[in-house]
Amino acid sequence: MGTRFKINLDDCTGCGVCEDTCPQVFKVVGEKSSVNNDAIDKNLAAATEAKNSCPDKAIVSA
Amino acid sequence: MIRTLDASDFIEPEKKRLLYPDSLSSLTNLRKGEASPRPYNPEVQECRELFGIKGALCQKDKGMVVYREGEDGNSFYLLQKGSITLNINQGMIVESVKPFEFFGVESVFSKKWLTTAIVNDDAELYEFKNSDMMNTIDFRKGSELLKIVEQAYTMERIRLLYKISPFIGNNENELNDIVEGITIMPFKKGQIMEPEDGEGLYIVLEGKMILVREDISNSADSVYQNGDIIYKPLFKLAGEEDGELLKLNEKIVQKMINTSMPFKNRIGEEIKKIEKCAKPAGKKQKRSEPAAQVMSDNEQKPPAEMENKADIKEEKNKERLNTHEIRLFLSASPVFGSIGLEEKSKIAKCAELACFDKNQEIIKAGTFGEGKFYIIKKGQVKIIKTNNRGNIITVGWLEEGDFFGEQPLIYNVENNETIISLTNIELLAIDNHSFRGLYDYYPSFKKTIISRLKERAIGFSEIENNLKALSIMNFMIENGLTYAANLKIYELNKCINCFSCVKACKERHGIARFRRIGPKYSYASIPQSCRTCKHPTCLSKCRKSAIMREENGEIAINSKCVGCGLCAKSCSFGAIEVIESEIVNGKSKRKAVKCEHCRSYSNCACVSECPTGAIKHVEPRAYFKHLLTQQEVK
Repeated sequence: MGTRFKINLDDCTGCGVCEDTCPQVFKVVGEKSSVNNDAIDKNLAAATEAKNSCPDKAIVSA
Repeated sequence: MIRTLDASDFIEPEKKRLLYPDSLSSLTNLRKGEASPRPYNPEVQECRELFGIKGALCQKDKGMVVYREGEDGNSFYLLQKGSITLNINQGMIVESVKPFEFFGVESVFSKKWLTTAIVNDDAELYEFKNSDMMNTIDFRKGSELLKIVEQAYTMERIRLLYKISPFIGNNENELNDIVEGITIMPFKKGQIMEPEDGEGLYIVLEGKMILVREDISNSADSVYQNGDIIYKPLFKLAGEEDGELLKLNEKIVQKMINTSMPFKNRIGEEIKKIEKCAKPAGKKQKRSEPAAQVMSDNEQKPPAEMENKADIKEEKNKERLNTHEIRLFLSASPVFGSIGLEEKSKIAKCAELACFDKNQEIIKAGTFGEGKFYIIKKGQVKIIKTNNRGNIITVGWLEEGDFFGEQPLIYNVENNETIISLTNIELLAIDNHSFRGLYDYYPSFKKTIISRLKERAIGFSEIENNLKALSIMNFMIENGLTYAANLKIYELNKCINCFSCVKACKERHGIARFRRIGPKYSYASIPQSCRTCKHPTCLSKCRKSAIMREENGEIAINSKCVGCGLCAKSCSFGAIEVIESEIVNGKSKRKAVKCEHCRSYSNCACVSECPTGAIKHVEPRAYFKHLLTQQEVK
């Protein structure tokens, strides 16, 4: 299995930094972000960058 | 560079090949590379006798000036190769001279040149000094004399043509017949040529050409190179690489087909190719009909039906523009405000939206670009030009409602300006055909364009000669002051470095919202703080609608901000900062902060606390205009 991420919905503010950094994996739906784990392996570098750039540290490894 | 004609002029130094043998019958000698000792080609000799004067052959490189407006002159020129533009007011093009045309003739009569001639493309030209024989010369286009000169030049080309594939195997007499019916058309990369009524036969002498068509996917087949034949082209032709095109009359083509078998075979292949290409374009055509009629059949359909089809296609491919919105935008613009409603509607109908990012090159000098006319809908661009001394300088910027890219469309010359976007911009792009329609049929549109170009040319020439204004303008463009509406400036000649401005800001807001570092011009220094840009990049990034423009134009951050920092990242002046504002439930809360010019107070803390009045809130354009005039007075 490849890398998998999870969104901590309590912390997520839906600011969209993750979607801005890696739109293939993250998408803001409503007020919260969602993650497409199938696409992570293809865009690993960008997805990791998005995880680190989250201002609320709401993206965690699953 | 200037020297008189002699025998070496007619021999190419590299190839040692004779370009002007004494007569056509020496083609056999030509093949062997033997040079004839005769000094002049008979045609050129005849031409010289006709003139009764001595012409000097000059070679001029691109960008050189042949003569300048206002200078005393006593000679005139005949262009043999390349192209030359005649300018007035240092940059306003009035005419472009093509091969085998006279120019500079006005100096013969007025003893002064009325235009500036600039070489647009490496040129060869004959200079003739004024003489008593001047009155007998026929300067008109297409005169006997010009015909003789042109024929001499064409003969030389025919000898080149002898080596090109469609004509290999033809004898000298056949080639001799062709001479009168051919025309040589030079083309540039990106230039679009419209064949007249789909008639005639074209042969590519040099360079590459492609057919411009949208509906056929296999574009690789339609690249034409050295020696390829293009017969009755249905579509427009576009240059892929610089080169020359040879055009044959319909009569000559028929003659060639009758006399020469290899030529007939080549034409047959070409016709088959065209028919193959044309089939997907119109399914209703009958097989027996020639391909050239397919397009005309389509054109003759009722206009309403055609329009509907076009609409559906466009909707599929691209976003339709709101015509009403564009009409309103054009009415509000200072340039196009005066044109009629019909013209506005026409522009709105044929325009396409084109978007470019910041610092992107939209048009490059020395090319034909995409052959489109652009109207700026949103944003700003800067204009870079090469001045008379050969230096590359920024001469100005264009704003919303202004236009550019008109030079190749109106004068059929290359752009002499490079256009680079200063901000993210939206443009209305109008293609060549629609623009010609507007320009030719609506006098008010033409008048608007011409008067604006004149205005611009005068402005550019003024700013080129005023070095101080030029340096201030460059400073403004480089530091993004052209699109700033309201910003802080502190004057170093008054500042005593007491830092009371920073202290006052910190006292009022809890944190200093500006830093006293940044670009300087003379004594005016611009701190790192919000400039209230006209086209802000920070607004569009925010998903929470936390950063908004208020009614008075001020950009403010409200309580919805979650401190993600996207706005701070997108601001290219570093005016936004993200700070940890408070701690809620053990977690620190972040917030973006920027100078809001003390919007909820009656006065600005920094301005009111400054003991010497060094710091100011100003509109940058007015301030720098004042700075310029003030310094000039001193």
